[in-house]
Amino acid sequence: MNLSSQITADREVGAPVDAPTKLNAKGVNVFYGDKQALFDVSLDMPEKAVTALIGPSGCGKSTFLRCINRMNDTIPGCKVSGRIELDGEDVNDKGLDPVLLRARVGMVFQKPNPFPKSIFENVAYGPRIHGVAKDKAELEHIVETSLKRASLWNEVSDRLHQPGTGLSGGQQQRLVIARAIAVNPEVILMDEPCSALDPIATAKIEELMDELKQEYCIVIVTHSMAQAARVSQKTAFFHMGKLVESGPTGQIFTNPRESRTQDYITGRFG
Amino acid sequence: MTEHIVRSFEDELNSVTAECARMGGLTEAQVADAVTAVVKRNQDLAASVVGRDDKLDEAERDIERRAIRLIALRQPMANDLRRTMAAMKVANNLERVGDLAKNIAKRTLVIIESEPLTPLTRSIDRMGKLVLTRLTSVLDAYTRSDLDRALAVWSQDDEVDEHYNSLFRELLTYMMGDPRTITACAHMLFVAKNLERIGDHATNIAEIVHYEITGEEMITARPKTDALSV
Amino acid sequence: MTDQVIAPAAGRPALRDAVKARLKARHAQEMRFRLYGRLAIVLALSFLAILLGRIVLQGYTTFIDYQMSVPVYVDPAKVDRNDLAGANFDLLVAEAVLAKLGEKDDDLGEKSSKVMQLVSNDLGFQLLKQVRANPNLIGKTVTLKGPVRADASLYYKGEMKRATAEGDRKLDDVQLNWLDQLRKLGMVTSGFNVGFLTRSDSTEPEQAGVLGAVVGSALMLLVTAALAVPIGTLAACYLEEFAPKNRWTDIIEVNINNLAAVPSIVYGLLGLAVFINWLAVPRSSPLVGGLVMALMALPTVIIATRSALKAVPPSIREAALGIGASKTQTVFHHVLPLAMPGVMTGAILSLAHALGETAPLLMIGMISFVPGVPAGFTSAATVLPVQVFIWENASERAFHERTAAAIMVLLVFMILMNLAAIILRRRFERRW
Repeated sequence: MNLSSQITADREVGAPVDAPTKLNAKGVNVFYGDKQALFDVSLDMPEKAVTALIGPSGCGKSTFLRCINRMNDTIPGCKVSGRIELDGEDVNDKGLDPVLLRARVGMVFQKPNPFPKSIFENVAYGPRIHGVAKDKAELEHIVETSLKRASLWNEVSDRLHQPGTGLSGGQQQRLVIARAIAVNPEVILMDEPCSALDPIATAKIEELMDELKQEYCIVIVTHSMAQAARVSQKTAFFHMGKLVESGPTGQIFTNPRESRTQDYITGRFG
Repeated sequence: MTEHIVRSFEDELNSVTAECARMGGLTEAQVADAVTAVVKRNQDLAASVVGRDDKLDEAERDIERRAIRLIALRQPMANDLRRTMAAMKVANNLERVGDLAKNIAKRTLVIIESEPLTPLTRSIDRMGKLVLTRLTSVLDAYTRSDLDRALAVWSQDDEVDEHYNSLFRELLTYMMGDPRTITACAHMLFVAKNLERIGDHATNIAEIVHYEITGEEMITARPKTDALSV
Repeated sequence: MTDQVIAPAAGRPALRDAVKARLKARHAQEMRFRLYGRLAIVLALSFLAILLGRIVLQGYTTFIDYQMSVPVYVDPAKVDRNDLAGANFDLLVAEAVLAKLGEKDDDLGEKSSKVMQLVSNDLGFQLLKQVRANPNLIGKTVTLKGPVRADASLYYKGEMKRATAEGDRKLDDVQLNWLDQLRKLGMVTSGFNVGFLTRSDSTEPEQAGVLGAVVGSALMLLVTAALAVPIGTLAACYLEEFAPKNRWTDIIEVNINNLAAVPSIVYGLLGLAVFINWLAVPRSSPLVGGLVMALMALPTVIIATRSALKAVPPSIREAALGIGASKTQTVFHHVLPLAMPGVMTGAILSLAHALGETAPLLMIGMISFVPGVPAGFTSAATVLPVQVFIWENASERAFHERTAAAIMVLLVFMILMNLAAIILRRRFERRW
């Protein structure tokens, strides 16, 4: 076995590269009015693993991420073509309700945005509107479980009814993650979740990602290549709206196939 | 290849490789002088080889320090990372080669005290020249990132082995023929072994160069002719 | 890789000198601007002080009234048990006062009619009510307390002077002497004019109060609030969050902004034509007044609500949508509650504005003389600003001070509503 596949295999603890595909994008094109932002992007994202999307600013990685849960629908003048399949079903299908889709595909944003309500209400909102909990006791159980899974329970269990906006940045981001997982999604999308946080808060979120990937398919957009290298099992490099290369993280960062990828990763162009 | 956006990063990378090349030059000189000392029975030359070994150890430590600094502070990726690791490993190999050359020079000082064994000396000379050529060639390949040259060096590893095997038989014959030559011959044996080891290190360096350029380890086993199977 | 060379250190002293040279002028400019600002504030405050001072000085005397208490003997000879209304209670009161003054009425009754000019006929009404309630009072002495007549109180307040020629005054010297005597006897006392706040409009100034107008204003505001706030808020929500952004919605937005600037009397005409003539809503009722005011307040509420909605950061909407909330849930669970401070401020300010509007209400007939408190939304009523207008136009001098007093009451209302706006805003304000 040659060195690179050895490196790759060691990285893939729990999720080898040939894990079943959760999300499958085929020939995705996105237009903002007349301007084309994504050109024919096709990418597989495996389940129970973290896929990182890297690339310079304006290369379309956030646009691609937002196609997955149809958040681009909220932008006027945005047109999406191509197929994005979640477990084989096309998310852009007219018959699929975006509200339902967003309950299955959760999202965490760059700037932590908890609701200006209490911590409990933040996490309970999703289950409540989707009718997941039968009674108050079950709702409390869901909130507790979600906060525990987001590694936030110990820090907030004694102040659940204080406003969520009173927490620190890192805690707010974990609260937002708890909110997302409270509705029991299958996929979690993260758009530069750590860019507004300090290194220790970032490390805690990365540790959380490591735990969460055992149950969910996670897709993360990040500006930090070091972070992509640390947390992901599969990495995709975008440039000017096109997907240049994708593959196992170990291979991309030690021996990428495309010279553009190598140039970006080593800092020879940004 | 385009330059790194941060110029100081580019400079640091280049300096590590340059240091390695410089160390290679020093090592070549050591090996050449050691072989000459043995062949020409030159005591002073041998002594100076022994004395210069410190410089090689110092160079290796320096390269290692630079490489570790580079990794800690710059977090090189992909080919930059391979380049840094390669420099470290090459330096390591070169330091071992230097030690082997010093060992040859030390033994030379003992051999000089005995009677000259001209046919053996000629064999040693031929083997030494071959090894030196291979070393020079592979270091050239390293400095110039020349994959073909490195592969050429790599595939001819058995040539050195053949020289060693025939020298081995020659020495045995000598020792069996004239017990008074055993001391000198024994030392000669070690000298030959050292030369063979230097040849192996050259092959190592060839493999490192291959990894640095292609990012893949060599899959097939290197060609070897084992004397023990004789 | 910078291509240009950064300015060498040698250029720095010259730069510093240039900056220093300009510095004095710049500081002077700033000081001048600050001075202008302060002057403007002082000017504005002094105008405000003058305006308020004038109103208060003119009106504060309303709140002092002079009450007379007099024991009245209910002469059974003059009061028939079976025909109480036929008795002249005013005369009884006048005679009691004369008795206290040590005088007797003459045959023509001139003295008693002079006294009746000093005493409010409210005392007579009080006596009638009491005897009606308890006929056994006939033959007994009842102590009554009531206000003196408007002209008498003007004398007491010093507005009617003896120095003026007798023919130019409303009261002659004899009456003035009697007033002094009554004062000396302790029958007339001054106190706070509670009646001003508890009575409704009347032809007699001393009996006139603002209660009717206050209740009328309150009822009208209730109707306005009930219509303008929900409709305006929901319309703004729809226009801001749900409506597609195209030419039609642009036209609607421009029109709403323009409606806010339409002269208020136009709304009065509209109310007259549509509500009163066509829909047959009772004229001069709080209902029609509220309808007209609601139309006026609607554009303001919509504009304020839209601004408040725009100020909510999009990250909140994205967060709600991201978790699977529908558009409606996003708006009503998250965006609107966060916009509440702005919405409430806009609503309360537009209501305060509606409180002070007069012209359109004149058009729809809320100028009628309404003696009592309006019974409900459909009965005739008047509002505070119109009451001010009516009293200002009245001939009697005593109404002038009441006009200013009514303005003071109106201002107090305005201040209270603005305070309510501030308090509610503080309570609902949230940090995001």
